[in-house]
Amino acid sequence: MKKQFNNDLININNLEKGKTGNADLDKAFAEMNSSPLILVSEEVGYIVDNAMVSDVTASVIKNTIILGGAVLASAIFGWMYFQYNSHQKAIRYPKKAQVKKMIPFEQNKIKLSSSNGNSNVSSEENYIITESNNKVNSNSIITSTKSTNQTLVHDVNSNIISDNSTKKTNAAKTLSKTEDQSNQHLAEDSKKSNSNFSKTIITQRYFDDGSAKMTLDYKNQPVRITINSRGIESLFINSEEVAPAYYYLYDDLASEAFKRAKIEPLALPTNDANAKPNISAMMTGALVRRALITNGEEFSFELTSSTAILNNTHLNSDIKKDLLQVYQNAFGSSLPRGGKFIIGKQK
Amino acid sequence: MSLYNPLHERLVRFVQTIVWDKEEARDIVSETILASYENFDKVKHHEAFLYYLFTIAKRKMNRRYVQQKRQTPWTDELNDKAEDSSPDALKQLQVKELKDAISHLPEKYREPLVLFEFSGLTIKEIAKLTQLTENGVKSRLVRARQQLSQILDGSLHEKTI
Repeated sequence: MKKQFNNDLININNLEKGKTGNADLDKAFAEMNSSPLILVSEEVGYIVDNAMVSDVTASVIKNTIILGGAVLASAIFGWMYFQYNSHQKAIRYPKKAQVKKMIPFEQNKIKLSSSNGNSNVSSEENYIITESNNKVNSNSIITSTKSTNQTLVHDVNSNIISDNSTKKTNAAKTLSKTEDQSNQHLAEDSKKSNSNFSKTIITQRYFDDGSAKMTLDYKNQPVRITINSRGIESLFINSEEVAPAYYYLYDDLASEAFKRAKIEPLALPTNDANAKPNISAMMTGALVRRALITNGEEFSFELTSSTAILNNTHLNSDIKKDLLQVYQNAFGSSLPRGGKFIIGKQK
Repeated sequence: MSLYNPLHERLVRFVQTIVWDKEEARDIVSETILASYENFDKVKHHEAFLYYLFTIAKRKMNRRYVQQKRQTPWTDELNDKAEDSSPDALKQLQVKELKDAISHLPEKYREPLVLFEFSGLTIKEIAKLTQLTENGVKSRLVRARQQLSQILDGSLHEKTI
């Protein structure tokens, strides 16, 4: 056999299938080649058909999943857009229920939250008022001291009746009160509130000069009003400015604004704050509201930076400060040192 | 399928000669066909389908062989699984011995031998498939035959003794 095989090596270029030169090997090769196949071509056709079917099935499933996913995704995005849109509308035209959840507004405002329809005034940033709850006299005037050395004077309803600050800035001023006090006051306010208003204040901000800007919902219309002690600085209803000549038409709106801002109106609430003030009339009204005189009573009053004399009687320093603040609010600037404001003539 | 049908027997013989286990061989052939079917678009020329098909089969077998090598070595039990439907038991024994002898050949000799003797590929085709020169293929074929004869002679000698 080896001899034959060596011949094959010599004839390397004449290799033929099944002819090795070894008879046993050739026979074995022939047997191997005649053995049946483990897989016939019909089975292969079956395998390929199955693969095609499963391919189609997989393709259908894949397409269905893609389509379903696309539909689901568009539904989710649609829902999110709807929610976002609703939220935007709620900010522009807030409803009572939605306003309860509205916390973040622009930088200078009072944050409001509501638990039972009443609003709570909460503090913001570093401007905090600590209430000393000092009763001044029988007229129940309460003095509050701000951390910025400003003094606010409130009446029993927490209406701010004076503020000694003089510089107007755009800085945010927020009031902080104890929850009980706020609830109490606002509950009272809401009882008094006109039905034309929604019970919830939307935004409200205070400025150093004692003015306040707020947004209200009045007769289902958005209202933006800026007031100070002398009256209305500006009024926008439905984003349209109302001329001062027509302020008188909105007496209930102005009264509500003063009530909510807790600012003492020194003249009529609908007075044009930019008009030349009648300081004497304003001071008279302030004295009447403080029960220092009665309405229509003749009196004499003299106010300097160091003294306040009513009917020849010196008023205590707290009332003097309060009245100096009234003067400042009415006039627009503080009484100059050495200056004197007189109503009537001291006997 | 028109491309595949002429190559069917060649492919199956190639696989069933190298792989002992019948079911294993069937699996490899099926996987090869499916793989070639899935990536049929990659075949640019019809002439290349032969090489494409056998290359896939080679890779599948190598992968299985490596896996099996790690898991279970070739044993008599596995050898017994190699069925052959030859009517004659002697023929069956010859086939079994031949398969056994082929399995003992080094890889570089086994593949050209099987492709040439059982799958019926030409020297040129084998050279292209194995990326060898034609003379290299011939050389390996001769050495494969030589070693196979020695193995078979040895086994016959052992049996005689």
